[in-house]
This record gives sequence, structure tokens and C-alpha cells, in this order.
Amino acid sequence: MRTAPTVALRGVRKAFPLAGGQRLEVLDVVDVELASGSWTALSGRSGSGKTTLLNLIAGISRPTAGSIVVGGEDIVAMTEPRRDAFRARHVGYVFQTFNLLPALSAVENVMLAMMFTDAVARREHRRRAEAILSRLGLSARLSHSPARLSRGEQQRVAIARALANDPPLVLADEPCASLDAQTAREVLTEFWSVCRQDGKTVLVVSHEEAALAAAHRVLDMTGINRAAAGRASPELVRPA
Amino acid sequence: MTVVGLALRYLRGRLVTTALTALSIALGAALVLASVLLTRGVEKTFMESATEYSLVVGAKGSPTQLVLSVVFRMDTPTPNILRATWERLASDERVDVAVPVALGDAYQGFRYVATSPAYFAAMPWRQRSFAIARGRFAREDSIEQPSYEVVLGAETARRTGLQLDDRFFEGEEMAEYPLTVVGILRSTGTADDRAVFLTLPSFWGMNEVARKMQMKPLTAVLVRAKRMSDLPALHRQLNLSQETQAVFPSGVLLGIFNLLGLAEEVLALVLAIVASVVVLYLFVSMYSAMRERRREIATMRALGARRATILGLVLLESCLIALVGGGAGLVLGHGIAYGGARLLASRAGMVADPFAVGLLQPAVLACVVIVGALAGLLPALSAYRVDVEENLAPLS
Amino acid sequence: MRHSPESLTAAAVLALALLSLPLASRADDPPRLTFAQLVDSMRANFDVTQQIKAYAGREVEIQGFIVPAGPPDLSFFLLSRVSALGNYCCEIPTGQDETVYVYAAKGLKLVYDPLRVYRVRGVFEAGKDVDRTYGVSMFRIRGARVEEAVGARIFKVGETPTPPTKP
Repeated sequence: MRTAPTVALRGVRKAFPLAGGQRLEVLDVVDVELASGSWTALSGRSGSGKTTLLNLIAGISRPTAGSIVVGGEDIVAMTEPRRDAFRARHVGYVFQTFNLLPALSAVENVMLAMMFTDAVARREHRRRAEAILSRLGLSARLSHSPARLSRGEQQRVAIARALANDPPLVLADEPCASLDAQTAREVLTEFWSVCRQDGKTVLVVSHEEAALAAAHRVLDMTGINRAAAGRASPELVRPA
Repeated sequence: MTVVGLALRYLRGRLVTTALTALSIALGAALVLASVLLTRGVEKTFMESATEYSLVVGAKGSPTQLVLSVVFRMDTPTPNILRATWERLASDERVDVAVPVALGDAYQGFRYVATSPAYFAAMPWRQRSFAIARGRFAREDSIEQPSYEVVLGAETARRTGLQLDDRFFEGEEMAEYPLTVVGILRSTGTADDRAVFLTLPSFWGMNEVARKMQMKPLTAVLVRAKRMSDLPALHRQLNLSQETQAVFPSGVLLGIFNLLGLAEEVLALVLAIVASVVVLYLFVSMYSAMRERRREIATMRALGARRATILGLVLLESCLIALVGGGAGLVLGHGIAYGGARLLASRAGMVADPFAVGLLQPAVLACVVIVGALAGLLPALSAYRVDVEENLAPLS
Repeated sequence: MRHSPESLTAAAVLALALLSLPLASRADDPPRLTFAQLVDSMRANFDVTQQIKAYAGREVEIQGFIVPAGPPDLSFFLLSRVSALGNYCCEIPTGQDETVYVYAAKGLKLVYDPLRVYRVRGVFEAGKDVDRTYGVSMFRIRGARVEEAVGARIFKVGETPTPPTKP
């Protein structure tokens, strides 16, 4: 377990090119910092750029302007392969649609994440994967393929995968949108429990009550994204 | 989990498609292997059976038929020439050896070859030798007192099951003149393995027509000249005569090789087309798989996989299918070659080794894997270029 | 079309005269010998002229017809002034002087046509030699490379044939 770093965004903007040479500015965010070990919830209407922001922080895409510092390193300045390697090691990502590989079993899906970095020794891969899955209550489902898992179980596997390399930062994009209310609550509780135990910094895009209630801070896209609302509004940012 | 492990997983995930693709690759590789083995066998048979005699002298007609029937025992025998021709050649001072040969009839498909002891004698220019495996050569006899002794070629003995001292005949009219097996030759790897050798008097004695003839018939005379430079003159002289033609056996073989070469080119073209179809099939299979896998690729990229890793993964998958297909193709190819070799042997008396192992097999395998990589290149590139953001989630 | 022996001899004499001059600009092409030259160089008792001996050990070119007297891979064959097939239009060569023993270089690939003239290039040997397999010969070429000879000269009506120039 390492000390979780902060995430710092400064002057981040993202525009997409349109046909005809025009650009659509999707993001123009205020400077934001995520404290180490904190749980931040990100809310907003659909289309307000939440996923885009998450992808920028993950280093999956690059901003048009600004800097994004994760764990003390500016990922915007990195080349794409370096960013990919950085992400593999430092960022865990949970998707709304689980995105498990159907060809692999539960434990193999978790092991997949360890394949792209050397945080965990090769011979430890299986053991660690089984351990994380057990922490999430899936010790009886290790060799099941995703098709044979319930939705809640699938998301738990996805969470386990995100935690496989013990990343300091975990991002979750509407992790419970595909789950029923009861399961969503359970999954979120476990998710936060594990992350808090390991001192992870978590950024969750969600409008679930459970996610907002557990958060140290809630950011609303209209509040932080000038391109979405027109102006930043400090009242919409709830203090920790 | 390693990249190889993941690739194997993916292949197992779509097992039926993988198996079908590998099977088509196997068929293509098998065809290539089998045709190379068989054509090599055919060429080798001709080359090795090629005679060391400078000229084959026989009746006027097709040179190819003469050489094929006398040397390779393949075609139907040509019309007869006179014994006097042999005697004249034997006494020609330019001629080193003149061996008479008479053909016609067969026992269970194995041809009778009537000749003189000179056919088997060791000569300084002769590279192959005839050795007796069991028994002895037929003894010298005369027209008045034929010995009716025969020596069997190795293959003849094997297939007919005739043993030493067995007596046999084929056909009603031969019943009065059964032949006795006195010797079995060791294998020579030529058409002689499938022959039944007897003396000329025996041959003339057992044949009703020949028995009555004053001038005994021959099919051909095999001539070895003392000096090669005498050959052109000898050749022309025999060709200008009314009765005979003289043929350079190598010349006929070269003509046959020209035809074979042509057939091989056509075969190569056909194989190339087959290979193209197989490659196309592999390409389409890989490409459609990549299209279906966009979300998974985007997920792996989101997990931190580099583009190059994704590219390598797809290429590896393609190469693995090719490798499995190629390996199966090698086994299948030898099987097809085995069947083809048996067919060639029984129908045309040609010897092809269906299990010859050399540089051919690794070369075929290497080519298959390279082609697999090429087929997977475009799909790999398309995977390389997958837009992660677009493909991570259905709708944002 | 083939020439009569007289004109061929005349051509050969002229060619010999030309060839006895120092070899000129086309240094890369080996000197060409004709069968007429070989015939003329024979002396009694299997001896040959000094002139023809001068070519021994050197690369030469001879054109002629292939007589496949050796194995079917053409590793050995006879080169003759006259084709073995054809209409027998010419006097058949009767002696060693008009037949050259050719030992081909390794890996010779050739499409054999009995009616084509071939160009054979290799190391020339002159003088009596007895080969174990093929018997006695006067002229030989070793390590030969063979290709079809193209570029026969076409003569217009009334034009007299001149000695063969380099193809």
C-alpha cells in the first residue's frame, strides 16, 4: 500500500473537431484537485462531458489545453505509450457496461489487467486475482465466464480488475447504472469499503444516492465545466 | 496471463471458426506438400530409371513410345524388329555392347522382359548393378532347348507372392510352357523391379507365333557406343534404314520433362489460386473478428495496453491459426502423398517417397506462418487504430 | 538457312584471320570457335595445331546442336554441327573433330529442343583425352553455360554471307 497521490487539473479544455473545420468545445473546466484518499462524486446531465473528463484523467485522450497531474506527473506531457504504461500502473477504471472479456473467466479477466504492467510478479498473478475476488465475495465464481455471472457479480469482477495492480487512483464511470437499486447499493458499499481500506483516491461519476452520500465532495459538471453551464458556480460545490 | 495465453483464449472462444480456418489452411498446405512430393517422385523415377545406354534401337514409330515401353515399361511395346539387326549391331566395331530386348505379355501385370545376360553384367560405365537376392540368374540356353527359367524383379516377387522354384503361367496357350522361378533380384528402384526376366529362347519358345518364325523377333536393341563421337553417325545410319529407328533415351526424357515442366507450371498456378483463397478466408475471418472485438480492444487499451501490444496480439492470433493449420497440413500432406504414391506405383510403376523429410517441411511451415502474419496484418492495423473513447461505452 | 561447306570454310578462314588479330573492344565476350576451325586444326596422330591449342584453358564460345548422349540432366552432352533430328540436310559429322564433348556447369537448367542452335560457353580443351564413361574425344568444353543462340542473320536477296559477327 502506497500513499495515494493527488490529481490536479489546471486549465483543462477539450474540443472535438467537426466537419467543416469547426470545433465543438466540450470541456473547459475550472482548476480542480482531488485530495489523496478522497472519494469524489461527479454528477451532471448526460452529455455534459463527464465521461470525457474521466477519459482525460485516465490518459485515454489528451486535452486540447491545460495540464493534468496525477501522482505528481503531468500526463499531458507524456507520449501515448508512456501514458498507456502510466495508466496501467496508476489508474483503475470501472465502466458502466462492465466491459469484461467474454472469452476469459472471472479470474482471468482480473489477471488481464496485470498483463500490461509489471506491478505484480507473473507467478503471483493468479493468487492476487483470486485474493481480490475473494475480498469482493466471489471466491465461488473464480472460473465462471461473464455469461454465467449475474450483473452484480460482473461489476464486482470489473471492480476487482480495476484494483488488480493496486493503483493509487480509481475512476468509475456510472458503475451502477446497469444494476438494480438493491444490487447497486451493495456493490457501491463494497467498492468504497475496499478502496477506503487501501487508501485509494476515487472519482466516481454517478447520480446514485449511495455514491453521493458516501462522497467527501460532490462536483457537478455544470459547476466546474464552463463549456456546459456557461459559468462556474461555487455554491454547487459542496464542501467535504 | 500472457499475450500468447490471451491469443489462445480468443481462438478457443470462437472454436468453430478457428477450426474451419485452420482446416482450410491445412488443406492448402497439404496440397502444396503432396504435389511437391509427388512431382519430385515422378521426376526422380524418370531420372533414376534413365538408362545408361547411348541409343535405343527399335521399330520405326514414336520415339517416346519406344523409350517408354523398353526402358520404363510404361507404354505398349512397339512393333518387332529383326534379330539380324541385333547381330549387325553386335558386330559393329563402333559398338561396345548391344543388348537385345523382347517385350510382350505380362504375368499379373508384371511384364515379361526377354534379354541376354549382358543386360545384367557389370560394366565399367554402368553405375547401377543387378544383384541377386535369392537364387541365381537363368542359365544359358538355346533356341532348341529353352530353359523356361525366370528371374523376378523385387517388386514382382513381393506382389505376386511367387517364391523360388514356383512354376507359373498365364493364359490357356501358355499352359504347356510353365515358367520356373530361379532367382529374385534385389530392389533397384527402377522399372526393373516390376519385371519378369527370361532368356530369349524361353520367350520365343513360349510364344506360339514366335515359335514358328524363322527370323526371331525382338522389340529393341540397347546400344552402348565405345565413343560418344561415333553416336551421331550411328544414329543417322540406323534412322535412315527402312527397318529401324534409333533414339537417344535422354532426348526422349528431356521431351517428357518439358511436358512435365509445363504441367508443373499449371499445377503451381492452380495451387497459387487455392492459396490465395485460403489467405483471403483467413483475412476475412480475422477482420470480422476484430470488428466484433472493438469494445474489448478499447477496454484493454483503457486498462493500459499499448497500441503495439494490441497489434501484436492480433498478429499472434493470426500466426497461431496458421501454425496449427500448417502443422496439420504437413501431416495431411504426407497422407495425401501416400495415397498418390500408391496410385502412381500401381498405375504407372513410378516410385515416389511420400515420407521424404527434408527442408521442404520447415519451408512450407515457415511460408504458412508468414502468410498468416500477412493475412492478419490489416486486421491488426485496424485493431491498432481503434478509437478508445468511441468504443468504450455504447452511448455516453 | 545453313551454308554449304565451301562458304563456311571461306567464312571460317576469314574468321580465323580476324580472330588472330588482338581481341578488340568486346573483351567481355569470349572468342567464338566454329566447327570448321576445329576440323582445320586436326593433324595426324590425334594432334592439333598450336593455334587451336592457344585457346586451351580459356573461355570460348561454340554454337551448335545438342545431341543428348549423356544423362537426362544434360550434365554431359555432345555439341554437333548438325542436328540429330531434322532433314539430314548436311553431311553427318563422322569424326571427333566435329563433335565437342560438353561437361556442363553445375545446376544447368535448360529447355532442350533438338532443332535449336545453342550457344555454349566454357573452358576449352584441345587434344586427345579418354573419359572413363564417354570415351575418347579431341575437343571438350568444361563448366559450360548454355543458352539458346538468338539473332540469326537474315540476308537480303543478292547479299553474300559474311563471316559471323558477335551475336
